[in-house]
Amino acid sequence: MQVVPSFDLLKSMVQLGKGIAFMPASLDLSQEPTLLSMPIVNEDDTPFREIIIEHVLIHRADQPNPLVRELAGLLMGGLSESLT
Amino acid sequence: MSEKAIRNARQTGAQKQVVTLGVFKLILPERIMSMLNLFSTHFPTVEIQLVKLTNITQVQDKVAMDQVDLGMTVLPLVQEGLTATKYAEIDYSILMNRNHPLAAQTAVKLEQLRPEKWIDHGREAGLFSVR
Repeated sequence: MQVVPSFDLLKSMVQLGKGIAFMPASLDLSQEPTLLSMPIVNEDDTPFREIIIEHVLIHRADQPNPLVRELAGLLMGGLSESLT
Repeated sequence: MSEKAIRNARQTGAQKQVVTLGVFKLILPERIMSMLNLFSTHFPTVEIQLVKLTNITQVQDKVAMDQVDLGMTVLPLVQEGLTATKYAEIDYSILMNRNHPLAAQTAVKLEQLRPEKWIDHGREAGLFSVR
């Protein structure tokens, strides 16, 4: 395995045909016409989900601004389902 | 514009609250828009200023250093003192060249990738690592 220090370099290596790489399916490749993101499936063609990436909204735990805490709180109680 | 309208506009501006949201530059725009829509639906007078950052570690750094208020990033957290709320679970996919022999497929099985050469990014890339 070749390890590179940045995602830009990783993309360049893949563009040059030096190999392939794991990447989150959520990344935007619209500016990369020579690259594609290929879904992974199990042997029975179901989506491969043994490893996943958890996307989170973060703020400082000691955040003094109640508005920031309220915005983050919107994701609790089911509202986050609209973002998936 | 009448004097009253100008006064109203100034008052609205004075009341406007601004929150900064740090986002990793490669996150799909649709995902960011969904987050902004959620915020504006519940807090229509709040202005969200987007700050595009080069990697997910930088998003966490900027929030931890109080340089942005909120951040869209991924687990694990590498900074202490942060609170995270999950909003999505995303699958991994395979990044490949469009000229790759498997590129015509709609999906790929891991078994098919056994002979491939792999490229990975180090931790300093601030991305995600699969070992």
